[in-house]
Amino acid sequence: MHGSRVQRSQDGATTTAPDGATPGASDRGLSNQLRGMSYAEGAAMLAPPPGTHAPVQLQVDAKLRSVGLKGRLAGSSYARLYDLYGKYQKEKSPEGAQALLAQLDTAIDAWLAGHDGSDKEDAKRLPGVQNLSQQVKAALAGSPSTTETTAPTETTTAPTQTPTTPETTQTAPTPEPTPTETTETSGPPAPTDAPPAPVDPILARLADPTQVLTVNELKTLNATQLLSYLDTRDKGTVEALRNNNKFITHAESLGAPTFAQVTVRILLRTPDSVVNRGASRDEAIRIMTSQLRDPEICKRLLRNSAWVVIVPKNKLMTELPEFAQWAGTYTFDGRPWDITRGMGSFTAGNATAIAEENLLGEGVADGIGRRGWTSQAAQDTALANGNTELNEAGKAGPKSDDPNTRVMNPGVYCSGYSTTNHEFFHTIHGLGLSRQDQRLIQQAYDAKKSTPPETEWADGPRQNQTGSFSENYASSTVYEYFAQTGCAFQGTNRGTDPYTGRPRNNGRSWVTANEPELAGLLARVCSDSELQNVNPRDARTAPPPTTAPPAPTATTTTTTTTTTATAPSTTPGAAPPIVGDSVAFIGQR
Amino acid sequence: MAAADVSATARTYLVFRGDVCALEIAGRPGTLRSMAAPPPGFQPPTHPFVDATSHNPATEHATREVLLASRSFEDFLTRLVEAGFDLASGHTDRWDVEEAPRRIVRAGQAVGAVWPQAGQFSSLWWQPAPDEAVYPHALVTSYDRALTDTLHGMVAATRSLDALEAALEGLDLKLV
Repeated sequence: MHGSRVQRSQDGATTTAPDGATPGASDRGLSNQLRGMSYAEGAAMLAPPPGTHAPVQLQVDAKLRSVGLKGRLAGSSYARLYDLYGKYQKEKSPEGAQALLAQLDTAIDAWLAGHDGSDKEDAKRLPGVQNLSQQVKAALAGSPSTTETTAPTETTTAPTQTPTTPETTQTAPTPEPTPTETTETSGPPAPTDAPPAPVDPILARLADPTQVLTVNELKTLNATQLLSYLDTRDKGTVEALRNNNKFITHAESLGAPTFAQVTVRILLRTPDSVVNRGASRDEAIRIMTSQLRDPEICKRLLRNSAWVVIVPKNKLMTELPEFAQWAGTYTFDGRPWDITRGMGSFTAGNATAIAEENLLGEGVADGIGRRGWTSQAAQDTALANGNTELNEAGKAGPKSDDPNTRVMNPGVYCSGYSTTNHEFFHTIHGLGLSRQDQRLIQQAYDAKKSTPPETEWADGPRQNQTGSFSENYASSTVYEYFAQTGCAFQGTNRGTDPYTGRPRNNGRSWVTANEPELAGLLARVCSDSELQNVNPRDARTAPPPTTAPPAPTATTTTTTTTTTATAPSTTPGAAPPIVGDSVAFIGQR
Repeated sequence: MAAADVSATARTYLVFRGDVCALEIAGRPGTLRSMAAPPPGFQPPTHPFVDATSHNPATEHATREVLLASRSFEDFLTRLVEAGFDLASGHTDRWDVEEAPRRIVRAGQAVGAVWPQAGQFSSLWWQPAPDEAVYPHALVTSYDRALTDTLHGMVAATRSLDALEAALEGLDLKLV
């Protein structure tokens, strides 16, 4: 345990204190204490004793995820990687060099396996380590040469301090190195008794996230390196590439799958305020890439200034600058724009909104809501009588003491229903498809609207549960028709239609059989197979309660599903459900 | 246009701001549909004199404010024009409209709108059947009841947009 001790409070929460340090030390102290351990070792150290109640385990997991602790652990592996590289360079005997090369290979693999993208420092190191990995593996596979590898540290990503031992870090916390520091401070003495490793200047600059490569330089990178570049550069650098025809032409030449990956990275914005940036971004890339099989769609989206922004789960959509213009305003059907959790874009330059909680299968943070009128008539009356007060945007909004108003909360969509998939289909519809394809969708929609109400759409028939006529979501507009049918094609249309209360249809086979015109178009738009595990709320839920779900009551509080959810847990059933999918629209939090 | 939505008695229009289609509306009791994703359990509101579907999130608040101030379908149409929106016959394929219209103005007052493409002549008070009054050089909507027949006659008598513009100028009507 490297001389540390683990303390547990009465409620089971784990705190650690290095020997000689103040109990209950900060995360920085804990970080230093964990330095040098593998992730597994760190987890073991923090683990509660056998038989500990499950919530304690949850807190341990959360602790490991917090403030980059996992990254710090991975960072310690990075120090070992650096150390091995130094030894390898100094090794004189071919046998010893080969053995160190193998160790280095293992260490690199371990580091890459522990890198989950959630740590900013790790993310900066990633390109350099990936580059080194390629060179080491090539050396192991061919004629091993001690001069052909490029140190991950000779550019800017290496730790600048000598790797510290756990003992020293317990009493003298060491500042985390940053890439820029490395160019100004001394690292481990560079080996001078071995031939210097030739450094590809472009790869060296690739490894430095502050460096902006020219298009000609970018053209020398392979697909992995190019994506790595886009993943590690600042927003402005990446977004500027959309208007560079030379770059776009090159990216397209790398093949449709790579071009889709490049396109998504240019379109996608992940604000710093997103709670789990790495996982959210990865999932958004996975889903959006699956909708960009056609390079022509990619090019139109880039040309039409399409943007996609992840809305943090703890923020209103209108708190982001891309959607701030809608703060305090209302949708055409009378909802505050603030609380909506998704928006497609049909206008060049307007952003598409997708929600972090839906990407990760989580709930919206508590406290997210806006007051609104309970009905159209209530709003009419209030506006006519002047019974309003200025809202956040300085517009006539509902008065807090008006009984015909309520705090409205964002809904939570059921497991397996992807709003990212849905909203990005809107954006593809408006800004990515050709006029010919847009007309094809319109014609298919117009034709389908003339069929009897019992005809099945992606969201079921145009009948409510009593058999009376009711549009379903997919039949409500040509846009929802394409987006919902697209979701069904992708296998992400699970759940119940919000308008009719009837089950949705889902799956590629259903679309092929029932929407043949759109199936052909969607086959050109989407990847070969359906998406799996989108919005994985079920995977985070305890078994549903045995009590029957509440019967639907008033229209504003109708419940639609019975799935329940808990906080992420490795022990299903251990914690009580804390939120349901059936969050009512108005003021039910 | 959603053909099944259009009854024989309901006039339908596409509402534009510039070259952006903001709304598709029909003059009959119906439903108000937003482009915002509905949360679970949400039911779209009904409306006594208009059935409307938003086509653009950016204009929803503005068009809703116009609707809230309106007392009839005709009043809604007039107020939309006053608020800077332009209306085209609902028999138009919205995917065909790629340019912003030019307004027909007399003494600073908008009396109509012209799109430089094939389309139907209509007014805020009258809409022909889908295949009637369709002209190859201009899609025109009259915003002035008294001028409707005159404008229609000019569109029918000309064969190009330039010729139409010249004819309009003869009546002190300008395209802006």
